Amino acid sequence: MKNLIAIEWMKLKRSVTMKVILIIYAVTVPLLYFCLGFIEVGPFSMPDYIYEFPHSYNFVAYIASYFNLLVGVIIMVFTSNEIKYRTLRQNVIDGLSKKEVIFAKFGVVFLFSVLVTLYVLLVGLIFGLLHSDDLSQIFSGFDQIGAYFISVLGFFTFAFFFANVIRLQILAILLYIFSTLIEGLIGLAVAREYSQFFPLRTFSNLIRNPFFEMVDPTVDGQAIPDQFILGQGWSAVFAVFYIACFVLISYWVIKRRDI
Amino acid sequence: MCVTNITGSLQFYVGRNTGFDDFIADLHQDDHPERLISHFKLPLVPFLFFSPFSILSWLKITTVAEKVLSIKGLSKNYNDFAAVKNISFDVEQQMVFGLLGPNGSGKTTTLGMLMGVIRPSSGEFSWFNNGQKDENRKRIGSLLETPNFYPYLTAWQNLEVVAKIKGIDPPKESIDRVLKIVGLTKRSDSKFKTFSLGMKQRLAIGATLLGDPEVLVLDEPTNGLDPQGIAEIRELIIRIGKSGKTIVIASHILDEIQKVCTHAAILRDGKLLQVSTIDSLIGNQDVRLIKVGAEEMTKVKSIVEQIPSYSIYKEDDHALIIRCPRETTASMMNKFFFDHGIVLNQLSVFSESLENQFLEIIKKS
Repeated sequence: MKNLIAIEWMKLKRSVTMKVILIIYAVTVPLLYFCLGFIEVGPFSMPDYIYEFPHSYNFVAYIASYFNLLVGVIIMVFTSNEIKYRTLRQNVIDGLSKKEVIFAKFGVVFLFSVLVTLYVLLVGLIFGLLHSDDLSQIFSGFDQIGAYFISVLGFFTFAFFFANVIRLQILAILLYIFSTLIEGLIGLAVAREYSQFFPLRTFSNLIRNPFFEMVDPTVDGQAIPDQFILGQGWSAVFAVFYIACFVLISYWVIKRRDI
Repeated sequence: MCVTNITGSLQFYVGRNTGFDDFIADLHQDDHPERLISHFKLPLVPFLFFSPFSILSWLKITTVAEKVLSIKGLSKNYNDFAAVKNISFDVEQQMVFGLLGPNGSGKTTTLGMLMGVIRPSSGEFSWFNNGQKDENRKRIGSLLETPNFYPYLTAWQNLEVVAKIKGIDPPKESIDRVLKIVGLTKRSDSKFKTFSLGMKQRLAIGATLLGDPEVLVLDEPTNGLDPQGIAEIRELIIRIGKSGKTIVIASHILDEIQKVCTHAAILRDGKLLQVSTIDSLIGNQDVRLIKVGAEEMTKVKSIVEQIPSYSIYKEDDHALIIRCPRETTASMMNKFFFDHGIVLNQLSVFSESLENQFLEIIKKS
């Protein structure tokens, strides 16, 4: 596996798309978080605790989650390029098995998720250290980081899945970008509250919305009154299930396909 | 007789496969001492153990006719369309094996199945007597259809990826070597997307040579090259073939197959029409074709028809191609007609090309 990841890294490290998107992500996430404190709407202004442990992790994760789609584009382009340039085919001709090709790519997806999560952790940690007087809570927001990891892995695996299954790159990217919207519309039209079991919704449900808590501290993260809501724990279980499905279906499709 | 001589002569007799009885028979006519050596395969193994060189040679002999590739009943259907129909043939070590057929005859599909990118509908194949394992392909350098590389990587970086997949470590020497062979050393740091079609093709051929693989599988290797490039690549393939590598090469260019291959399989509409050596494909060695032309063609024709050992191979208004015994020369033919009162205005010995054979085979089936 180490060798396979090394091969993927050789292809990826010179990708301009990746560098540009990662820089945008790395700059925008802390910047937005920093600007959050200046928001004032009428009498309402942001409380100081948004930068303090344990809340700092949740806030960064929540802000960063808006960029999942963007970072997912790296995975999308990276994976679908292999099909577009027929290098997936060439890799197999040169001696990799289809299984190795798919799981090496998923390895990259996984490492990317780890990387992005570590960055979120780092930003949360730095803001927390700068603003907290009480450091005893330093580890207590880590579960939000864990949830962010699964969420990001979910979005990236979804991109990976789309890129593998839809052979036409431009169509795959467009569908991917609008997928959240499409899923939301389908959810509204047919499934209503059960739409939260849909994959993308599940991935986003993993991130607690800290602003809800700000408005009403009694609700646990994402509750909307009179509606059945899946908790973070169950969302994580479903998310892992979907991730496994996406990877296995990708493998199944590529294995059966003449590439 | 010294040991070095043994190894030398063993090499020379590689490929002979004589039984023990022949060996005994040969012992009695001991006028060619070096011929004996060739039969020292099994019976004298203990004796050969005394020299490590001899053991090596012995091993060489036993592996020489090893099958590199064996195909049994391979087929591929795309919905209702059968692209490849029940193909079977073997490729042995050191063969330069041509897959010959017009466009759409199933050459690339066949190679695609052999290289693990197209799933066979039925049938099986085996590389190196090792089945269809993925690792087999690391021992094969292959170019299928178009050159496939990462456009944003340089030539060198692209080859680095291939080398890593093939497990060539460290890759530098190997990459520099193949870039030199295909004449891209100067462009090694240019991105693949800046390459012309011919350069892309050269890079793809270079990639197949990485790590000096035992077998090359090449699909239309001279595609997109200029005449000089075509000549260079053919020269390269011939050289590699002579160095003892096994090559499987698909082409619709008959001339190419004729120039580089030792064996050929002819495909049409996914069916295997014939498999044989190039020599036997090119022509019956007992026959010579001679083209003659004269003013009075009807007379020429009637004379030829009277001679039992001659027959008419092809005819048009101005000339006949006569099939005649091998020993017939142009001057003999000239004299023959002169004696019959005919003055020829055209006379040439025709070597039947693979092109004609190919067209004949295609026509027949």
